[in-house]
Amino acid sequence: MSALLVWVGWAERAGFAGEIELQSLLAGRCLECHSGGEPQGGLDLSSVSGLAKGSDSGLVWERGQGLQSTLWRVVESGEMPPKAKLTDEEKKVLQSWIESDAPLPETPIDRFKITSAYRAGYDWWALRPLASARDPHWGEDPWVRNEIDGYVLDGLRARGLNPNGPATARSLLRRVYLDLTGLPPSYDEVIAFEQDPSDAAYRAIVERLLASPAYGERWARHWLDVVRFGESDGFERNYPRPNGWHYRDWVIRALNDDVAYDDFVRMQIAGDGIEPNESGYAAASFLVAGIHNTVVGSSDRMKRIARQDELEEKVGTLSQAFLGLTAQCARCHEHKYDPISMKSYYQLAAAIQGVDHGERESRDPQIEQRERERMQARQVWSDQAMQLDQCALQLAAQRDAAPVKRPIAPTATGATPMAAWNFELPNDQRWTDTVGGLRAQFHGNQVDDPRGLVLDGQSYLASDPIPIDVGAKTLTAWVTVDPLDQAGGGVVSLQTLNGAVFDAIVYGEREPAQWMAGSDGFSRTQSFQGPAESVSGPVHLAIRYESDGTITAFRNGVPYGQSYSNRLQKFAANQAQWLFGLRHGPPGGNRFFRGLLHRVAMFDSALSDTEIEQLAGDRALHWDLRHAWTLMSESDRALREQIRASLVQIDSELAALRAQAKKKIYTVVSNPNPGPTHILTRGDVYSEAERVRAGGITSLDGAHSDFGLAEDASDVQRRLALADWIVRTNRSLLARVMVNRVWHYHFGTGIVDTPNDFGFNGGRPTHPELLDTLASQFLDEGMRLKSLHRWIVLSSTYRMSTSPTPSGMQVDAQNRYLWRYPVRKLDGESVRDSMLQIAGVLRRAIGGPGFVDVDFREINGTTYYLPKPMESEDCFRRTVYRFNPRCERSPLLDVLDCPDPSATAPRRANTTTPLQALSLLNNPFVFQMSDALVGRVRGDSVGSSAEDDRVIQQLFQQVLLRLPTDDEFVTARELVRQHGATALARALWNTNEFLILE
Amino acid sequence: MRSNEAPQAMHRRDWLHWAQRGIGATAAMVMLAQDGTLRSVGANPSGTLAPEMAPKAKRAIQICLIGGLSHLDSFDPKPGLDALHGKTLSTDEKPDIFFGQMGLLRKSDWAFRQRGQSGLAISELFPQIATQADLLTVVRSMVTESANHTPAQFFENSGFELNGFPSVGSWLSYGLGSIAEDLPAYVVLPDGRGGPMGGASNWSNGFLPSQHQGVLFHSGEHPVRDLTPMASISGDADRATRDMIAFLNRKNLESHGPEDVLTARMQSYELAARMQLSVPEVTQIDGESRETRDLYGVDAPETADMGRRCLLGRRLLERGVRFVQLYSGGPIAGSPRSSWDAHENVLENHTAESLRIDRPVAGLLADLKARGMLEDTLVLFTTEFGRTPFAQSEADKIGPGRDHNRYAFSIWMAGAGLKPGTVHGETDEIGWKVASDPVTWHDIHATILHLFGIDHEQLVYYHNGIHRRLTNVHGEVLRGILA
Repeated sequence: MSALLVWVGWAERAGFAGEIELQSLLAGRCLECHSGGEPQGGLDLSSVSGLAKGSDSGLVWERGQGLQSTLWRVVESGEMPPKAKLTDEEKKVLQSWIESDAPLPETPIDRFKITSAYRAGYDWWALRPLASARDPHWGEDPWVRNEIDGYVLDGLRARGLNPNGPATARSLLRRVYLDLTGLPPSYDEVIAFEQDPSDAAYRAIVERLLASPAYGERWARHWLDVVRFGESDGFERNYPRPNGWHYRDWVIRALNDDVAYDDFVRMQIAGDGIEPNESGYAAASFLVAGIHNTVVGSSDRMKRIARQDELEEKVGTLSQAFLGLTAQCARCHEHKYDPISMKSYYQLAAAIQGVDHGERESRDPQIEQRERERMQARQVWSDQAMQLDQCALQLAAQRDAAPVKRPIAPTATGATPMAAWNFELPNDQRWTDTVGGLRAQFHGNQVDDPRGLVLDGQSYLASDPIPIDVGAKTLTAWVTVDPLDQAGGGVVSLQTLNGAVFDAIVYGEREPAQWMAGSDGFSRTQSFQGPAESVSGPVHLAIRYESDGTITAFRNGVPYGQSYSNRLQKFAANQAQWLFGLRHGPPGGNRFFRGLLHRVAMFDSALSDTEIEQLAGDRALHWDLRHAWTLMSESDRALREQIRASLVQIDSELAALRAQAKKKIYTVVSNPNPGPTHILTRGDVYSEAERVRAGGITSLDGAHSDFGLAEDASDVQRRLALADWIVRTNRSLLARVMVNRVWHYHFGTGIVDTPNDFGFNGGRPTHPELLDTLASQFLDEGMRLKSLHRWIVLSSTYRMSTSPTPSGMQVDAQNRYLWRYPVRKLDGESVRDSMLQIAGVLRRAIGGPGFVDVDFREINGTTYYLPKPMESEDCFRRTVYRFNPRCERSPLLDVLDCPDPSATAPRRANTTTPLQALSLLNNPFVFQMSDALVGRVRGDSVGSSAEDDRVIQQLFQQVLLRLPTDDEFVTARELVRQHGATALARALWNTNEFLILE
Repeated sequence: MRSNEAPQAMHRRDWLHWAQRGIGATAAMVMLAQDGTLRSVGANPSGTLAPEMAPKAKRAIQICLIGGLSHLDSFDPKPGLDALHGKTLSTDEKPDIFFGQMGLLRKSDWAFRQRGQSGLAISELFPQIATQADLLTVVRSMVTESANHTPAQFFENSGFELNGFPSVGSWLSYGLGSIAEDLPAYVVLPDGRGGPMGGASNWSNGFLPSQHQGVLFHSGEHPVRDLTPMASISGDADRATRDMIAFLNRKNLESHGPEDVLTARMQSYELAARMQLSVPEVTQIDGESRETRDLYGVDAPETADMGRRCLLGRRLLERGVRFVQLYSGGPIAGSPRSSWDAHENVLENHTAESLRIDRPVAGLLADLKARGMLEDTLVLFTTEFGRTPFAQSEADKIGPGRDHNRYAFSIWMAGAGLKPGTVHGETDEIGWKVASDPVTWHDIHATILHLFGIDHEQLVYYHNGIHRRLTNVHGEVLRGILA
C-alpha cells in the first residue's frame, strides 16, 4: 500500500490526477518488457530511478522536457509498444502524465496489484472472498424452489425472459438417471414415475441414484477428464501402465463415499504421506497420471528440458484442476494476464520437485507373516538338501577324476539352465552350450587359456538364435574383471539379433566399478547402488528378471545393493541371442568387456534367492548334480526327491503369497533428495537465477506463500505443505472452481464456461451471486458433493423442459441464462454404457484392472495399440473401466469426443460429424448390441406377425422408453418383416431420441 | 481472423465453424433456411471466412521422412566436408546428439551435381527428384530443439514437443475446413511398413474439436474405419434402416420444434452416405492410365507402396481434401531399419529408403505440374532433423553411420506461391551447424499458413487459459522464399 501512497504523494505534488489509470496502463502495456532484472533496452519504467536512468541508448525523460522527451516521441510515433499499438485514449493517458511533469514512484510498480483492462490483479473477482448473500429480491414465486431458481429467475427477468415449464416425467427421469449415474432408467421405472411424478417420488429417486455405486462411476469419469488420467506413458515408447487403475478406483470410491472435497484434494497431492497404504498411494497417482517421457536421450540438455516439461505439466494440472489458475504460464515469464509471478511458479515446482513416476507396493502384514513362515520352512528343507548334495558331489568327485562335461548344476529345486557354457573346458569343447547344444561363434583374438575365455576388449562370443521365447529369466556368470577400472563392458547379454533391445550384466558403465542391469537406452536400468567391485578374481554374478518387472542382482550369492521395479522385456523365439563379453551389438565402443569368463548359466525363470545362493557356492563342485544324485543311496535319493518336491511346492506358494502381499500401484515415487530449485530465466534450463523454496502462489495469500520448509525438506513434507496450502489458503477459490465444475456437468456449460481457468483469459460468471452462494453453501456443508448435486437437481431450473421458445431463441439462443434445460448429446461413455445395459449384457463388476479392447504389441521398445476389431464379452463393463492408453484409441469413443488423456480436458469438444454417423451405424459394437437386444426381447419365441409386433413394442420401450406411435408401428413393421428385428434395433440406437438428452 | 476468442460462444462457434466451412456446409445451409437464429450468433459468417491475405495455396501434401534424412548426403553439398574426411572435429562443446559417440568426419557417400536450369545441387541419392530440381525451394538452414525422434516429430507436426497439441493439418482443417463436403479435410497415409512412433499423436487434433484430427486411410478393402458395416448387411437392409432413422428423427424434430443439434445430426447422416460413395471412388486407382501408374512407380515392387500413396494423395487433393500427409518410414528401431534413421550405415539405409520414394515423389511433382495443380498446391518434403557430419563410431574411426543432428538439416517445399529452384540459408563448412538464416519449424509453419492466406498470429484457439497458436509465441514468415 505504501508504494501507492508515496506515489500519490509524488503525483499530487506534481498536480497529476490520473495515477491509477497510468499505473494500470504501464503495468498492462509497458512493464512486461520494461521492468525486472533485465529490462528491454535497459529501460526500466517501473520506478522513478529507472525512468531517470534511461535506456542503453541514453536518457528518455528529464524533468521539464515534457512532450519533447524521447519517451513521448517513441510513443507518439507508434514505435512503442512494438506490436499491439496504443489506442488514442491510452496515448492520452501517457500524454497528460508526461505533460504534468510528474515522475514515477520510488518503489517499483507492482504489475500484479490492480486489475485493469489488460490483466487481472490481486483484486481479480475470482480471488476475492465470497460475496455474502444479499436479500433475495425475486419475491414470492411458486417456481422458486431454492436460491438457484431465485438467481436464475432474476437473470431471466432482467432479460425479459421466463423459465420454461417442467419437463415431462419421462424426460426428467431419463435426464436425472443419465446425469447422476450415466445409465438410463428402465421402461418400468418410467411408467412408475409417470404414475406418481410427485416431488416426494422425485426426491426419493434422487436419493436412490446418489446412493447407487453407479453415481461414483459416472462422476469419476468427469474427474478423470480433468486430471488427464491415462494408462500409458505417451511419447515415443508409450508403455502401458498395468497398475494405473488403482487411481480410478480410488476416485470412484471417494465419490461414492462422499469424501469431503478438501480431503479429496489433499489425498491426491500427498496421499502417500497422509495414509501410506494402498489408498494413499492410489490417490497420489493424480500427480503422475499424465504423460511421462521415458526416452530423454543422452544429453544433459535434453534431460533437463524433459524434467522441466514434466514439472510444468504437473504444476499446470494441479493449479488448474484445484484452483482454476494457469500457473504453468509463468514458467518462462511473469504470467501475462494473471497475477502469478515466475517465483510463484517455481515455488510450486519446488513443492513437487521430488515427484517421480513409478510403482510402489502396498503390503498386507498378515500375508507377510505367512510369507515369513514359508520362508523359514524353505530354509529347513534347503539346508537338508545342501547337505545331501554336498555328500553326493564329493562322492562324485572321488569317482570321476575329471569333471563331467555338464558343469552347471541344476539347483536344489531341480531348475535347469536353458543354456550354459563352461569355458574351463578345452578349446574344442567350450563353444557349445552344455545344456541345449546351442552353438556360439567366437569373434576376435582367440587365446587358449584353461582358466576360461580370455576377453581382451576386442573379442566376444555370440550364440545362434535362441529357439524359445524368453520372459522371466536369471543370468548368472563366474567372471574375473581385469582391469577393475574398465567401464561399460557386458559379461552376459540377451539381445535381439539387431542389438536394438537387450538385457545384460554390465560392468562400470554408469558408476565406476559397479555392476548394473544394462538395457537399451537404459530403459530398464536403475542403479542397484551396490558396492564397487574390488576383487579381480572369480566372482559369481547373477541378475534376476521377474515377471512383474522386479530386477535383482546377486554377487557371490547374496543380494547386491537394492532391487528395483521396472518392466519385464520379453524376447521372442528365434529373434534373440546370447552375447558374452559384449554389451550389445554392433560391436564397438566401450561395449567390450575385459577379463576372464569362466562359466555362464542362463535360466528361463526367476530363480529363488536360495537357488542363486546355491549356484554361487564352490564352483568346483558344480558338476552335474543330477548325475551326483544317482550316486546316492536309495533312501537318500528318495528323501532328496521328497525335498525337491517340497521346495517346488513352497516356491509356488511363496510366489502366490508375494503376488497377494505386494499390490503394485502406479504412483508417485519420492526422490529422497529433490535438490534445490532455481528460477530459470526465460525458462532456459541453463539460466539458473534466484533459488526458491517450496511455496504457493503469492497473490493468493500475500507474503506468506513460502511454506516455511527447509531447502532440503523431503518430498513428502513439501507435498503435505502444498496440500494444506491449497485447501486452506483460498477456500473461496477452491469452492468456486469445484461448484462450477459440478454445474458444468449438470448443465453442459459452467456458470464460468472455462472450468479450468478463472483468470483474465477465462470466462466471466453469468450468475456471479449464484456461484458465490453455491460455493458458500458447499463450504458450509463440509464440501460434500452429494449435497451440491441434491441442491441442483431438486431445483426448478434443473427440472425445466428443453422446448425451444421464440423469445428464448431470440434473446438468448445459447441459453446462457437458462430459460430452458439445454438439449445435450450423450457423451461417448453414456452411449456405450446405455447400449450395454439396454441390450442386457452389461457386467456390473466394480473396480479392479480395466477391460482391454486394444491389442498391444511392443516392437523394439515402442508400444503400439490397435483397437480390437470386435469387443469380447469381458469388455462389456462400464466404459470408465476401460484400459485407457494414450494415442491409438477406440474408434467409437474417439469420434464421440471422448478426449485423449494427453492433456487435461475440463470440457469436452462437442461435435457432430459424418464420421460419428458412420461409426454409430457401422461399428461392430453396434451390431453386437443390436443382436443382443433382439435376443433379449425375443427370448425363445418363434417368429410370427403377432410376435413381431411384441418385439417392435419391446424395442421401442427398451431403447426410447416409450411405445411406438401408430405410424411408427407401421413403418417399423415393414422394416422388421423385410430385414429382421436387428435392423430396427440398429435404427433405434441411431435416433436423436436415444442419443440426445432432453 | 480465426478464433474462438469469446469462450462463452465456444460450443456454438465451433459447431458453426464446422457447419459453415467443413464437411457440414450443406447441413448449415439447410439449417439456416429453417432457423434464423443461427445468424444472430455467428456475427458475420462470410466475414470470418475471408482469408487475411490473398491465398496462394488451396491445398497441401506433406511427405514426412521419419528417422532423420541426412542433409549432407542429399540436399546440402559440403565440399568442405570432403576435404576434412577422416579428420577430427575439434570442439570443446559436448554435442547434443543421441548416442553421444563422435567419430571422425565423414564425407558424403553420394556425388552432388548441379541440376536443371536453376543449378540447384542435389546428390545422386535422389536422381529422380533431382530431375524436378527447378520446382524445388530448398531450406538448408533448418534447426530444431530435440535430437530425439518422437519429440522432434511432434515439433515438426505441431510446434510442440509434447503430446496433445494440434498438428499443422488440424490447424488448416480448423482454419479453412475441407473444400469437399464428402471427404475429410485432413487425410493421413502411413507407410505400409507401419505407423511412425507416437502413432496418432502425430496427426492429433489436440485440443481442437475431433473432426480436425487426421483421418487415417488404410490400404485395402476398408480404407476408412466404420465406413461400411462389417457384418453382412444387404444394401437394401442398410438403406431401409437409414430411412427408418430419418423417419424417426423427423418425427422427433416435429414434436420438439426447431433445434440445431437435432438437424445437424440428421444432416450428418446424409453426408455420411455421400462419404460412403466418395471414399471408395477416390481410393480406386485402377482407372488411372498406364503412363500415370508408371510415373508414380505403382507397379514396381520397391516403389509400389509409396507410389500408390502419392497417387492417392493427388486424387484426394483433386477432390478437395485440404491436407494430405504421407509418411516415409515406420517404426524407428528394427533391423533392417524401416526408416531413415541411419545410425549403422548411411549408404545402405538411405539407398534402400530412397529407392522406395524417389520415383513416386518425383512422379507426384511432375504430375501436379502437368495438371496445373502445382499453381495452388503446396508440396512439403520434411524430416524431423538431420544427421551428423562425423561418423557415429569411436573417436578414431570413420564408421559408416551418422547420429542425429538437430543443429542443421534440410527440407524442401514446392508449388503454390514459392520461388522455385532456390535455396534458403546455409550451414557451416561441414554441415554441422547453421551458418546463416536459421529457420525453425515455427517459421515453416508461419510460412505455410501465410501461403494459405492466414496470419499465423491470428489463427488462435482458446484452451486452458491460453490462446493457442500453431506457432506458439514464435514464427516469422520466410519472405525470402516467396514468389
